[in-house]
Order: sequence, then structure tokens, then C-alpha cells
Amino acid sequence: MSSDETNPVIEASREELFERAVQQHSKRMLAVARAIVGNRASPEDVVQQAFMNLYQHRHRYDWRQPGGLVRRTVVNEALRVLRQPRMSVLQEETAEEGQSQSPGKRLMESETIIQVRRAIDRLPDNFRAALVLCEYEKMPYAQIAESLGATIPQVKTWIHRARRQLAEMLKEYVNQD
Amino acid sequence: MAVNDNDVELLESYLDGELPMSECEGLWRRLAVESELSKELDRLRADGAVRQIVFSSLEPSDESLAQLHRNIFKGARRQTLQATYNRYVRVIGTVAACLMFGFAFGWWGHDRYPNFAHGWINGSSGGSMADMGLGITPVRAPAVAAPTGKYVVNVRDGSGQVIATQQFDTFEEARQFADDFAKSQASHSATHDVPAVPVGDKF
Repeated sequence: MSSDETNPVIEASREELFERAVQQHSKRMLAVARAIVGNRASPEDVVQQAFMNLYQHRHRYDWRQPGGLVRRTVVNEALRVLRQPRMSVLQEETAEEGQSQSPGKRLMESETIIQVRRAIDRLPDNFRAALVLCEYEKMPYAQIAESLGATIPQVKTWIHRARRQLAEMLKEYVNQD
Repeated sequence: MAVNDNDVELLESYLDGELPMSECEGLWRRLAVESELSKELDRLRADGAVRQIVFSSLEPSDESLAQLHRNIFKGARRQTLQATYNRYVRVIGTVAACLMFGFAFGWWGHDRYPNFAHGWINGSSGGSMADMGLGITPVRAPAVAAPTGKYVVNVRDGSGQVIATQQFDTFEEARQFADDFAKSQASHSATHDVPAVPVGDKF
């Protein structure tokens, strides 16, 4: 046990920084977790577990810039949950209320969102994680590669294939209509 | 000119902000003249915009976010309490183990070194110096002839157990030692038997 772990002043400041990290990053992390695990696990559980893991080993990390650390932990936890044998599929959520004004247009938009979400859910786990980190978190390929434990060319390939597969899946949906 | 897979990758890198400036300039020149490439770029942009809406729709409501925060902080508090409890259990366990080891060692030593234990018991009960050090009572130390032709003086304690031996070449030396030892014991006892007199009583 290091002296840092027992120093009450350092410990208090670390806990304060941890709380700030939770407040700042949990919203986006919940969306990331939801995008990665889809309806195969509870994204709230994923984010909570990720933060608990960080809290347990909080003395190891630098909490002044926790964004990358939190993101990496949540993504790893989400992928870990997906690797576990699946017990049940959670009830599929409907898309949240859209931004359009007319009910007809809102319905169509909502339907499109559901279809895109379904298509994203059908992507392989690594493709989906890479795509979410790239397009939603706006992370550069190098950071995505670091977060997912892959090389930059691999990440580039995953994102490219994810987009291509999504386009093909949604083409089927458009053709059905 | 048809758009191939490499072109799509190039456009995707461009949209992701991963294309170096030198390659961007080349791409812009191509986009200006190749309408198919320009259309593909628009399509990729539109697809990306739809996905942005989808990802934004995944963001939680304020209530579920507040619930998540409560759960995380509750879990953190529980973990802190658990860690404190574990630390106390470790300290108490260590102290208990030390005490048990001490008692076990004492019990083991009591069986093997009775005089050692006896001395400690006398010492702790506030006995005289003579008792406290060796557990010796003033006894005559008999001198006996050893089988090797030397003379041995055995020093015994109050219970008659031999606690020390000394060898001498001649009987005279052995007797001299025994007499000196007896005198020493006698003077030691006399010193301790004299009742303490307060200095003030003499005046």
C-alpha cells in the first residue's frame, strides 16, 4: 500500500476528481455503451461497472484528464459483457422522440432511426465499437486503436467495413419500402 | 469515372479528418472534376448525419442519468466501507496472530525449559535478586569426584535440580570453590534478609 493510498488529503481530492469525472462523462459514456451493447445487456450496468472498476483502482490513475481513461474502460467493459454467454435479450427500446414537427415526418424519422439502430446492432462487436468511437466520440484512429487494443490499419478497415455493411443493410430496408 | 473501394476509403478518411493535407489537395482537385466521386462524398455525409441522429437518440434522459449517478456513488461508498472494514480485519487478525504465536511459543518453552519459566515466574512475583536471577536458594554445593579423575561441583536450585557444574583438578580447589560459593550465598541472603530501616529513624 503506497503512502498516496493512505494520505487522507490526496484521497479526498482523488474522490472529488472521480465524482467530477462521473458527472462530466457518464452521459456520453452511457450512449457509447448503449450503442456497443445494443439490447444484449444493460448499458447502465456496463457504465456503472466500468466506473466501479476505476474507483477500485483509483490510486493508479491520473484523474486530472480522465476522458480517455473513462472511455477506454467503458468500451472494454462493454466488449467484455458482449463476450460473455448471453442470458437474455433486453426489451428493445423505441427511438426517443424526434426533432421534427409533423407527426408523419416524426414517425418516418423514428422508423429510420429504429432501422439504423437495428442495423448497427447487427454489426460485429469490434466494427460497432470502432464506428461509435469514430463517429460519435470523434476520436482519431490512433486513439480508437489504443482503446480497442488494435492497430490503426485494423481500425480503419473495421470502420470502412462497418459503414459498407450498414449501407447494404439499409439498402435492403429502403428497397423493401 | 466509377468510384471504387479505394476511393470510398479515401473519402471516409477525409470525412474522419484523418487525411493528410497533401492528399486533401489532390482529393479536392478530383472532386472538382469527378461528379461520381462528389456524389459519393455527399452520400457518405448523409449516412453519417443519420448515424449522428441515431447516436444522439441513445443519450439517456436526465432521470436515468441521475439514477446512474446515484448508483455509482452508492457503489463507491460501499466499496470504501468494505475497504475500511477489510483494513481493520487485517490489523486485528495480525495482532491476534502475534498474540497466539506468543502464547504458543511460551507454552512450548514452558515444557522444555522449566527453570527459564520458573525464573520468569519468580521475577514477576517480586522475589529476591537471588531467586529472580537463577532461582537458587542458599544450598551447599557438594563436590564429587568425576569418573575422569577431576572434581565436579554441582550447583542446585531449591528443588534440587542441577543448574550448573564446575570441574576442578584437585579436591582442594573444588572445596575452596564450594566454600566461596556458600559464603557468597550466605552474604547475599544476609543482605536481603536485613529489614529496611528508614534513614530518618537514626536521628
